[in-house]
Amino acid sequence: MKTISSLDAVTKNLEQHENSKRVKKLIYSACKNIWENDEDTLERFKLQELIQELCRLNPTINNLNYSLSKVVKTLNKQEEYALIASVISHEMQNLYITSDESTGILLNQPHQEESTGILLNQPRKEEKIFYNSEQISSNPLDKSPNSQIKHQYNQFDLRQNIMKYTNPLRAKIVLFSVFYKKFTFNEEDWLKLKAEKLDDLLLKLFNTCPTIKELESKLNNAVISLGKPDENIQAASAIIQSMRGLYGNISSTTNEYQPFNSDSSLETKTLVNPYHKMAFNDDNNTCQFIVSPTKE
Amino acid sequence: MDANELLKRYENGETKFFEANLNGVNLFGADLIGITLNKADLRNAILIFSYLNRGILNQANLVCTKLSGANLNQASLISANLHDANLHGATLQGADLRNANLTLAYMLDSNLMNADLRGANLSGANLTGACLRGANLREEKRMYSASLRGANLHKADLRGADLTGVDLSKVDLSGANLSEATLRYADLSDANLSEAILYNASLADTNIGGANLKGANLMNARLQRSNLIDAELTGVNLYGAIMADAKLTRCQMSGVNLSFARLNRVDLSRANLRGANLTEADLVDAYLARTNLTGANLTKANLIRAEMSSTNLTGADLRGAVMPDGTIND
Repeated sequence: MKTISSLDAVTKNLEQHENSKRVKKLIYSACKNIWENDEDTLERFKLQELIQELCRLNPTINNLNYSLSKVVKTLNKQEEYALIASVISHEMQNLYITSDESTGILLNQPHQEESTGILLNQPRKEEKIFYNSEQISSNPLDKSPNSQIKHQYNQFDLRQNIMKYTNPLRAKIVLFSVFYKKFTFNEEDWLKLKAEKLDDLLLKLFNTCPTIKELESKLNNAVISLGKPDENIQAASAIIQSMRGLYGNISSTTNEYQPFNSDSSLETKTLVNPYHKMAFNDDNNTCQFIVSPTKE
Repeated sequence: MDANELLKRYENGETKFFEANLNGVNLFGADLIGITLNKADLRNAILIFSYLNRGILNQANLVCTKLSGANLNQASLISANLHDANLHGATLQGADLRNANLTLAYMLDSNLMNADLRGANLSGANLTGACLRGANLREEKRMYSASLRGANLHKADLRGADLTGVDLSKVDLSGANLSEATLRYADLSDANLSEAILYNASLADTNIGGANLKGANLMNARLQRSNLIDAELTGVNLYGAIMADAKLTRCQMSGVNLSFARLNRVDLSRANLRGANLTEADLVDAYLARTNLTGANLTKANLIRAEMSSTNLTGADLRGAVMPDGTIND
């Protein structure tokens, strides 16, 4: 069971490394096949996601070492980066599990329940995206993304809930701003938005966020970038509320109460009230999700 | 009247603007909750993100109006003309759209939950990803006849919608969810229902001839007397479906799951059921002329009085099946 939180641990160790910037650059380069010096670009990528990606791209530790050394050979400061590569390799070996441990991973999966009507309702494709992986592979990370267990994803229920509690277009604009740039209401952005389906954006969000915390943080950042908070906050809040149930309750139970903006880092700044105080499935609801934002 | 005048008068408590000329006005994000705009001319107006909740817009002219993200919940739009209107992501929950003209309307990801769409013309409308859960499109003789000809309902949510008698021929319903929907007497001929979810749907007396149902889920669906001639049903889940008197002539049904289905008097002549699962299916009086049941699983199926003289049963599993003459196979 050690893998359940090893991704978190690996990320933390690498983030805290004295050469964390170089670590990230090297990992980024090994993932994307391009050397990136621009801090802003690197900023946009989460180390944890890059590590996950790197792990996916390299099914064995040997593949990983090879990929890293391939990048190092293209660099000027080869000696420095060779050391960085070995640090990464050393940390990431915890993510590669030997076969005798692999059964533990399977136990972490929620068992697909036997024929409840709901499950049978699903088109087959959904079963494949049960976890946050795009493809089923033998890589342990795909099957057991760190600390949370994701639950059954029903696109129709999710969409219905979101539409019930917020404006579908507003929700799309917030999601668009998560994945692309902030929506600016110009002709070009409208065309791009028309090419996206709410369903697909939601699934993409679900697939890229292994935990509800990350999902909240992504939406909060989008809301901050969009400005004019009220309606966007309302939309982001409805998305969070609707998707919370898809994640295990690990993070929500550990955060009984957290006052707004108590966390100073922008990353996790909570603009949206993430704590549900209402029943979502109540058809006659008249409730408000939003605790008003920090309006002094 | 321009936008400023309207907003000012509305702010001063005036709510009724019958036949107002608001052609091309910009009311982006305007709060006009409960406004009356019967027969108003709102052609080409910008009403993006406006609040028209509970507005009364009967017979309003909304041709080419920009209503993306507009809130029209519980609004009345009876006989309104919304031809070519942009309703992208708009919310029309519980709106009254009876006899509205929504031809070519753009309604991607819109919310039409519980909307009354009886008699509405949605021909050529784009309803991709729209939520029509509980919407009413039911045909009522000499009163309402909704049309969805050429509409796009890909991945639309139509759970529990009433589509009785609606013309859905050739409509794209791929990936749509029609669980518990009522489609009796509807015309689904040549429709695209691939990967659609029709769990527990009511499809009695429906015309589904020539439709594509590849990968669809029809578990427990009711298809009595339905016409499925020439339909593509490869790999479809029809577990427990009620299909008495259905016409399945020439259907492509290889790998179909018909276990526990009720298929009394069904016409399966020339249908291809290669490798189908018919465990405990009820096939009393079924017509199986030249039906291909190669490798099919018919264990414990009931085939009493079924016409099987030209049926291909090569490699079929008939253990425990009741044969046409009443004998039971070991």
